[in-house]
Amino acid sequence: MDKVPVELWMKIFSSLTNNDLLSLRLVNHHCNDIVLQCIQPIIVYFRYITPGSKNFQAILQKDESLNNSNIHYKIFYNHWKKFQEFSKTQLKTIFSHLKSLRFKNCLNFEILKIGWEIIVKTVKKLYLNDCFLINNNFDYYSTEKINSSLITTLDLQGSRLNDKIFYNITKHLNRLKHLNCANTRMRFYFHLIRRSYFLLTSLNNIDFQPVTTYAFTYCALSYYLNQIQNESNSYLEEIQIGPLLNVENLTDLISCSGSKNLRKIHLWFYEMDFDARRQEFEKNFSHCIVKIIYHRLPCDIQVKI
Amino acid sequence: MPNIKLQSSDGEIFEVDVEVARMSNTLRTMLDDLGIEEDDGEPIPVQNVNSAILRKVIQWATYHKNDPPTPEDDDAREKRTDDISSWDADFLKVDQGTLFEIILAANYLDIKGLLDVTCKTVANMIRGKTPEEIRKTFNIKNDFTPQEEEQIRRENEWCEEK
Repeated sequence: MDKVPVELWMKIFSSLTNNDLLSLRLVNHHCNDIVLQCIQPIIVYFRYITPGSKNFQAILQKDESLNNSNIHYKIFYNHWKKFQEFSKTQLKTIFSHLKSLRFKNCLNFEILKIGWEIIVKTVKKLYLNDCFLINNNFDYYSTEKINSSLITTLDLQGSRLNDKIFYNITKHLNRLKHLNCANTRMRFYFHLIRRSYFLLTSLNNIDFQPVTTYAFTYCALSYYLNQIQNESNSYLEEIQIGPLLNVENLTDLISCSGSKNLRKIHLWFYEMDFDARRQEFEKNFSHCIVKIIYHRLPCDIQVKI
Repeated sequence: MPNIKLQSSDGEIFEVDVEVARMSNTLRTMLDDLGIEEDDGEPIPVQNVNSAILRKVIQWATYHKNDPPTPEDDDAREKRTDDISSWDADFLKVDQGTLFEIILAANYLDIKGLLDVTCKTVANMIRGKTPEEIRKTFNIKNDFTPQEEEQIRRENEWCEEK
């Protein structure tokens, strides 16, 4: 039995029910470790946290779309129901069993209450969707020293933030591979424009008068990509961005110092001019080594700040 | 159908129909790379599999040679363990050591159908058993301290489907 490699045990265990897996956890350390590896990664949602809420745990909701039979989800949810609060150590233990964590409709206040360090050191995929992360305290994220972030995917879709927060969120994520800024609305603050001016003006086609905050997102992304220098471990392979990019912007984005590992770019265009824009980009990037994938963005979700 | 020769790790030589040998992705790649279409006198070494197990594998592959190809990613089918045919069930009525040897051989030779059915057979040996019964079935020593066991029991309490 010892000769059978873990991958084969995982295959054997994959057809068992949850109760069988729970029994196996109690057989010995080896079985317990394999069972924990077998469990599919899940996403835990934190959602609908109201501004000013003192107790984020009270608004953790069970999401019907989740696979409720998942062991880690049950541990998490039932633990919360039973104790109504977690210590930082408990959170760390629980998060260490998760691969993904999704915050929805949150403020950065709530996220920071959990602890940015715990989050980025324990989960691989972090979704901050439809969150409002703009706050006057710009140093929120930078006060915590993060040495070993595990995050490989950061999804900011639907969130509002500013360039400084974006910079502070991303600066410690030195394993980031996938960054989703599609439909992310980002403000760009003047002081940071000044600070990053020299970097940004090394690009050829930067436009400092963008018409919507989507274009600010592009500015912040370019800034971020130029921050990734050779000494960084970061190896961004995939980004999502949209929809006000033009051909020149994309050329610049691809030529940023942090773009050398980019393999895929997802471009989101509005439905109304999708075909024309796609055609234009395809014509210009037909020989590009970066794979460009086009997506349609419904017009009705265009929001201007 | 042309035959080829396979040599087990302990030196025994088996003459096998090429189509049967090609059910193993490992052998198929080897045959394609070497351009072998029929017996050229030289046996192909199957280093990790002894003669007793290779005989069983060939027996299984010969019986299943006309089966449709196994789909690569069919989660629903892979999760079922009640779809083992009666022939396979009889074929796998072997001692536990042999069963695990067949699993390792199926994995080494990359025969998906055989690997699936053997893994399901082991899964069925676990199904519905208590931790103590599982230990007894597979002769496993419990290396938990009472505290560690208690900790897992406490976690499990919240997840049990009653």
